[in-house]
Amino acid sequence: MKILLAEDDPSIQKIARLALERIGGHTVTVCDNGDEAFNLAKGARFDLIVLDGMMPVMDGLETCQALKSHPPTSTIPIVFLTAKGQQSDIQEGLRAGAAGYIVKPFDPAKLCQEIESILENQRLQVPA
Amino acid sequence: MNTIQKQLSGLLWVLFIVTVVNSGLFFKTHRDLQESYEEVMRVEKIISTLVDLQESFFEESKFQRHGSSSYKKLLNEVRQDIRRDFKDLKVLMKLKVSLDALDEIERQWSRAQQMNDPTQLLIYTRSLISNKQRILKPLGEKVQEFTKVTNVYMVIYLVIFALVVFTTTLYLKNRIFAPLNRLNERMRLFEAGEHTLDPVQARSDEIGVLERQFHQLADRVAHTVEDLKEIDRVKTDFISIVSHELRTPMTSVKGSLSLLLSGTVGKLDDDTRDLLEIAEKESDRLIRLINDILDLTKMEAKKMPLNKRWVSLFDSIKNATQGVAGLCDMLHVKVTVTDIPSSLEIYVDTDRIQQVLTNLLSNAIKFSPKGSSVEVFAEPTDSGAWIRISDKGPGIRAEDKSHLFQKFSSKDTPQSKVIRGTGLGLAISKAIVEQHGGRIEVESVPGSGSVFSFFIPDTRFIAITQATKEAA
Repeated sequence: MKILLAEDDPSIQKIARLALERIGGHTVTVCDNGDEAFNLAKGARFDLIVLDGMMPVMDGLETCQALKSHPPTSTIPIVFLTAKGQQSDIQEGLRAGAAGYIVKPFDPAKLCQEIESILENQRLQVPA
Repeated sequence: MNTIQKQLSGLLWVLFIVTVVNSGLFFKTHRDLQESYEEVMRVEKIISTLVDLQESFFEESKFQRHGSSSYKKLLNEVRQDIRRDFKDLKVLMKLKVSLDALDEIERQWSRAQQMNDPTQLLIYTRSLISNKQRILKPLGEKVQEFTKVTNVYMVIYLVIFALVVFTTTLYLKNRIFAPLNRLNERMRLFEAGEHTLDPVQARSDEIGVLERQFHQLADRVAHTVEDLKEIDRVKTDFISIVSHELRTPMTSVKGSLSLLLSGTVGKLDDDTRDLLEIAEKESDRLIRLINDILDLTKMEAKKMPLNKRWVSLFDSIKNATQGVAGLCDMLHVKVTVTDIPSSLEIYVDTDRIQQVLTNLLSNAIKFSPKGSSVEVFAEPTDSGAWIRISDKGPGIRAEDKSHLFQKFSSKDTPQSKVIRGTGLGLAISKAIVEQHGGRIEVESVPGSGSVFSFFIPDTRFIAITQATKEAA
């Protein structure tokens, strides 16, 4: 599966990329901010997008809203991977259209499991 | 100072003096009128005496001409009476009545007296009768004048009285009630949260002083509120900065360790794996510690709103027991749930109460001897419900109970080497329970275990239908 990962912290970017590639077996494209993510998503087809919450230029929430309001990218499932772990933050993220919300610090294996189950749901929904 | 008091008492003095002066004037006028009236009555009396005298004189003269002794005697008596009466009549002079007519009569009387001539006396009497109107007319005028003066006094008094009453009312309105209402309005605004009040042009009287003092107080309170808001902002910023700044590096540490341990980036020898496991375990503990500190800070700063709803107590306890199932297996301890009515619901923030239950359960499990069981039961009361968790651990000494719920007061457990707590669990549980309006307690006998209990005030029993039973 092709996954787009937007994360400004290089260490976390590398860990998440490695986890998704090595544990999940996905093809991962990385970028450093929401603006880049939005442009990349418009240009190529991705199965899922992972967004960090706090990023320069365009934060996770803004990027999610932009992706959801742009018809070609509106159906791509979005997962937040963020340090904002308050109930209100999670609700805000889910309201913006996110399919999953993972709070940092995260267990790489659990990240992959979560993404796996979201992709599974997506596969079940698409034929219907 | 005391300006209003002085001004008000000044006004009341004016009113008092005006009243006293007027009372005096009324009294004097009344007395003068009374005197005038009495004099008029006396003149009337003299005249009627003279008329009687004239008649008796004619009667007498028929039988006893000049020199009758009884007549002379009577005449003398009459003379004396009339003289006295004339003396009294002169009192009228002080009333400034024109008594020329009386002077004339008196002159005639003395002439009649000298002559001792009844004919002259007759002339005098007639003259007096004809002068009656002339005597009484000025008296009537005087009475009218007095009435007029009295009326003027009355009008002046009423005008002054009305003026004083009007001034007092205006004074009370402008100097007392208007500033009081303004102060009242400002206090209401202040209480409603309007802390920046417009500057006030207060007078130097008592209410002005009160207004100025209120403004000074309000200013001080407003500054304090601003300071508190600033502290609150700093605290909120601190929570969010710490939250982000600590979580980001911990994400990298934890993520790297997990990835290395998962073996996806390369094979590990046993020593390396042991060391990485230690690092992972400690990083987990550090993450728990960071989360606990943030939770506690948020609760202390009242930044953790409760998302309350009605939930089944039984379900909450079941979820919490499921959460500690791994720990139970690891430490060979059983959790048994008894006496929880399935119809009992509590009005709580589920996640937070779950946190309390998990904390208390994992503590009980960690302190329990191998093979023993931890019991969970509920005691509904009229005002809420107690949820109790009892263990057969070593118990708590009385002197340790008081600081049990303080931060970082945790004791080493027999299982400390396996799972180490953060020392904040009970402090967080206490804060959560108290935020729900409840309280948390511990009863313990060293050597025979402990019972940790917390009270939730909002509870209810719901009717259990067949459907809910089946669902349960």
